Amino acid sequence: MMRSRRRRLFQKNKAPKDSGQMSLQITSMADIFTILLVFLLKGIASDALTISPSNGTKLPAGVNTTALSESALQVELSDRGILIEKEFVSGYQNFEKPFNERLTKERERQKLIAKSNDTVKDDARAILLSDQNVPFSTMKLVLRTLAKNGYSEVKFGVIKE
Amino acid sequence: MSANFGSSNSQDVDINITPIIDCFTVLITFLLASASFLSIGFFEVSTPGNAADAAQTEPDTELVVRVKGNQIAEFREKGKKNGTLRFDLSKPESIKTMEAELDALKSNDYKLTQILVSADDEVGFQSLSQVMGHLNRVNLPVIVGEF
Repeated sequence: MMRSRRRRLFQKNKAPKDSGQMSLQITSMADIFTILLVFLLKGIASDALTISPSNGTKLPAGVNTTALSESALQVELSDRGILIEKEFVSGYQNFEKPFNERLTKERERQKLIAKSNDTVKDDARAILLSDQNVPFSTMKLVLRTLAKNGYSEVKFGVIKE
Repeated sequence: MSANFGSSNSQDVDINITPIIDCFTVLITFLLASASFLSIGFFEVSTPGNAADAAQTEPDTELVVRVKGNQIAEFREKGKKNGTLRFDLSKPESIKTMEAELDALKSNDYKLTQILVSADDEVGFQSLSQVMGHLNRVNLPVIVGEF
């Protein structure tokens, strides 16, 4: 008797035979995606000027930093060498000459644009993204070469703490 | 005679959100791949060639900060206040003393108008940026070079 009762109970719990179609509840997933999308779009909209170092460059951390308001010539001192506007210029061995030549070229390009466009003037600003292990002896030479080419206002990029 | 309310007039509408999910997935993947999660801040500095522009008025006190290899920041003060002070960057209490000294130098007593920053050749940018962060507190022009 007990066995027959158990069998009946088991039969009751069995899923009804249907057509085999399954509907997945994706409304909550849509909600999550909407929130994620809004968050990511907001992040992109607020960072009008985004500057990122190339792979392998570890920027140091720093406090009391300011935001970047305007774009400028981007110079990067990576672990491999010097890059200007993400273009490799030279390694750290005797870098002054190729670095100086590239800066002069940039300056000439600016002057050429300034000739046809009155709003463009010689820009004294440069952004320097330097790896945390680059010694001051190298930085000193880089700053000197920048100053020689008229880039006297330099912004050091660091990770906000 | 009987009125039939309910089941036959059901107004359930099912919106198919599968294409929206597809669009969202593609958009989110693209945005996540292109987003940069590092927040970069900047220190504004001038090179020695521009020093004349930075100091419009003659300062009462001149401050030269030299970052040493062993995490020491050396303050050399000349003018109304003279002397050399050393601060250990690895000790929080030493950093607090350094900040208090900067605040005092900026006050009306000494009229500091700019800070000259230099470092030993072997000092990495990490140590320099640590010091510059604290120097930026006083909002004075910072000139980096060899002094």
